[in-house]
Amino acid sequence: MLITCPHCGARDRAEFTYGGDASVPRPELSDLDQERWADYVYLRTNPRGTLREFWHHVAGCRIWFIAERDTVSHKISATQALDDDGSAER
Amino acid sequence: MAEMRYPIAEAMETGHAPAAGGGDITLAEIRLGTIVQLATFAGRRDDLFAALAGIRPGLEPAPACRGHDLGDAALLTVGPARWLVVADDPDLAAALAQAVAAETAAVTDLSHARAIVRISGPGAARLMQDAVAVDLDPVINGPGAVIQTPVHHFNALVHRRRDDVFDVYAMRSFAGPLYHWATDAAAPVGYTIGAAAGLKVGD
Ligand SMILES: [Zn+2]
Repeated sequence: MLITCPHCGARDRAEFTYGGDASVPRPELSDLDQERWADYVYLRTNPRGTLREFWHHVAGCRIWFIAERDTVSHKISATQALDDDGSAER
Repeated sequence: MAEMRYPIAEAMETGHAPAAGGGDITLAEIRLGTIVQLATFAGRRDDLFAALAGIRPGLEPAPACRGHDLGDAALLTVGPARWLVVADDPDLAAALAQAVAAETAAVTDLSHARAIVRISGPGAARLMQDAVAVDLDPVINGPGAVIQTPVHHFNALVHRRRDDVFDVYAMRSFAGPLYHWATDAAAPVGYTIGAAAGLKVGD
């Protein structure tokens, strides 16, 4: 299985590690509500279908990026680099 | 500046050549004076390369997964806004730290932190293709390619300097596995241990 790193191009899946659901918004650091933090840390929806996920090209260029993966077929339809503030770079 | 020690110096016995095969491969330890990582802060890329032009013209930005090779020095693009400068000159690391302002880029001296084996000769491309899951067809990853990928279960950086010259960088704690992998992989075709050398390939 190949994953297209936004920097390096198509590489073997073994070069990457999974970083979890990228669609979960993090509470503000000033937010002291324990329930919102517990939801953020522990609750995931586990959808059937397309999921935005963080992946790390750990054995390559070591960037984090977002991949859109179908949780049924494992087909990755798009990958997208992040810049420092977490927004899409390209 | 502490004296440089090279991690596989004792293991590589120059001139050693197992009998098998035609000896299509030469293995040699590459000993560099300078390995420095440069990582720019947002919007500072032009400042970095202006500073580099002042101390070593030709150290220019290279595309992703490529390098600029000046013979005795090279600039390798290893990530977005992240480069390695490798050179024979041991004074270049200090010169880079001097020339690059603290607000321009993080300058990290890795000169002691890598072990490097050069694999060269007519059998080198075939040996490397068996080792990495990346296409080494010259059209895709020919001379100038900089490939970070696992080699025999350790993470490595492979710099293809010529069609049949590959410099394989590993973290120095993997110097032993790097050396043993290289000699095992080359054994079926036969190899010769070359003298430890610097970056320059020679013509
Ligand atoms: Zn990558």
